[in-house]
Amino acid sequence: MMDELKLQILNKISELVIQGNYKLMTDEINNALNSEILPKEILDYGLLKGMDVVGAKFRDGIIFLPEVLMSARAFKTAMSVIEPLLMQNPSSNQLTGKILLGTVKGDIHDIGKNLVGVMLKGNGFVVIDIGVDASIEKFIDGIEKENPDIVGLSAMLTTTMQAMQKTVQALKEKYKNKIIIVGGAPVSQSFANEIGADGYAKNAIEAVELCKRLLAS
Amino acid sequence: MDFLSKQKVWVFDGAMGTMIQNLVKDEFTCPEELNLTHPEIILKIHQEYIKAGSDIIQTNSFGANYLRLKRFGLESKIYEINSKAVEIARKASEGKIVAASIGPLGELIEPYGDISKEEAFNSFYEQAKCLDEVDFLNVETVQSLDEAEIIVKALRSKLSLPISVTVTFQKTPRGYFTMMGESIEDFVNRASNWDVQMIGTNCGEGFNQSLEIICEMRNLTNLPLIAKPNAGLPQYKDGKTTYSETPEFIQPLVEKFFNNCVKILGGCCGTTPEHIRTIKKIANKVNYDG
Repeated sequence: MMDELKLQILNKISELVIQGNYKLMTDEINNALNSEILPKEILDYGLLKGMDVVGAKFRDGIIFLPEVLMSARAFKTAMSVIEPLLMQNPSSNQLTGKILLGTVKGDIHDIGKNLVGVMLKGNGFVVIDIGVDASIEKFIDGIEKENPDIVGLSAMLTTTMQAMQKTVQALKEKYKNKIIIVGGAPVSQSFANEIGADGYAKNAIEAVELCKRLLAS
Repeated sequence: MDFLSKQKVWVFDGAMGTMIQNLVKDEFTCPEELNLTHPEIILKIHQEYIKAGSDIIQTNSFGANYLRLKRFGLESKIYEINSKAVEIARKASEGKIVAASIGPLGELIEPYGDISKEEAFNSFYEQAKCLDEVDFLNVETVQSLDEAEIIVKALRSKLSLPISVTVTFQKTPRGYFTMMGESIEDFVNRASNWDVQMIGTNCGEGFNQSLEIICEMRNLTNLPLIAKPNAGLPQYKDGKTTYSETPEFIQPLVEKFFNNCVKILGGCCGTTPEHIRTIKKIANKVNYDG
C-alpha cells in the first residue's frame, strides 16, 4: 500500500500532466524518486492516470489540440527522466507494442497523425513515424525495417482517400496478418470496413484504445 | 464587397478537389500543379460550374502558399501556379465574379508546431503577390484563428481587395469548435478586429451542421455570411467514393440557408455541378420572385 505522501506526489504529477505544466514536471518527478516511489508507479499512477483524464476531456470537447499538445509535452518531460530507469528493469517495461504511422501519398497533413503518435507514446507504445506523402513503397520499407505490430494510415483530405484504399489493399496483399488501422478527418468506420482495414479510430484517444484492443485480442 | 448589393443572394461554385479526382486518371500529388500541367481540366471544372449557375467561381489555388508548395518541392513555381490559377478562372468566368481560394498551411504554427509566425506570414504574402487580378480573396477551411489572423494580415499588406474568411468547425458535445478549441463567437469577435468584409463556414460534415453554424453566426454579426458545406462525409462503395448528401437531399436545406441570411452559398468536398444547379434554382426564386 502506498502512504499518504506518496499518493499526494503522484496526484501532483497527474495534475501537472492534465495542466500541461512541463516546467514543474522534472522537479516533481525527482521529488517522487527521492520519496522512493518506483518509476513504474510514477508512470502508472501519475503520468498515465493524468493522460487518461486528458483523453476523456479531449473526447468530451472540454479541451482541444493546444491543451493536449501541452499535456504531451509535460508527459515527455517526465518520461525523459524515468525512461532510462524503466529500461534498467525489464520486468517493469511498459512498452506495449510497436506502431508504424504515416500519412498516405498526396497528403501532406501531419497534425492528426502526430497527435495519434503523441497519445500512443504517452501510453507506452513505441511509435515509428514515416512522415507525410508516404507511398506504398515507403510503407513497405518501414514495415520491413521495423516489423511493427500495427500500421496506422492517416488521410486528411477527401481527395487522398483513394490513396489510402490503394495502400491498404497493397499492404494486405503483401502482409496478410499485419494489422492495419486508418483515421483522418474524412475517414469513417464504414469506409475503413469497405477498404479492408482492421480498425478505425475517430480521434487520437480512440486510436490508443483501438491499438490496445487489437493487440490484446 | 460592392458587388454584393446587386443581388439578394449569390451562388458560389462547388468542390474543386473532388472534381479533379474524378477527371484526372493519372496519379497526381499536388492539385495546384495541375494549373501548369493540365490547365484544360481546371478550365473544364470552372466552366461546368458556370454552366450550372455559379455567380462566383474560385481559383484552383487552395494549397498554393509557399510552405505548402514546398512540401511538394514546388515552391519555386509559386508565382506561375497562382497566376495561372487566376488566368484559368478568368477565362472560364464569362464575366462572372472570381474569388481566390486561400487555404491554410496544414501545419501547426508556434508554439504548438515548428512554423514561426514570420514564416507563416511570408508564405501567404508570397501567394498574395499573384492574386491581384481577382474580385475578392476567400480564406477558407481555417481551423485556427491565430493562423486566420496571420493570413488576413499577409493578404492585406499586399492587396486592398475584399477578404472573406470561412472557418471549419467540428461538432462537440458542447457545441461547435475549431480544432484549436475556438467557438463561433470567438471567431466572430476576433474577425470584427480584422479588415475582412465577409465571414462564414466551409467544409465540415454536411449541409445540416453548416446551417446550424450559420444560424448561430447570424445572431452574432452583421457581416454578410458565406457557406460552402461538404456534401456529407465520403463513403466508399464498390471502388468508388460517393457522398451521402445528394442534390435532392440538400434542396430543403438550401431554402433554409437563404431564409437564415446566408448571402453566398456554394459547396465544398463532394459537391458537384448538380448541387450547384439545385442551389441556383432556389437562389433564382429568392432573387427574382421573393
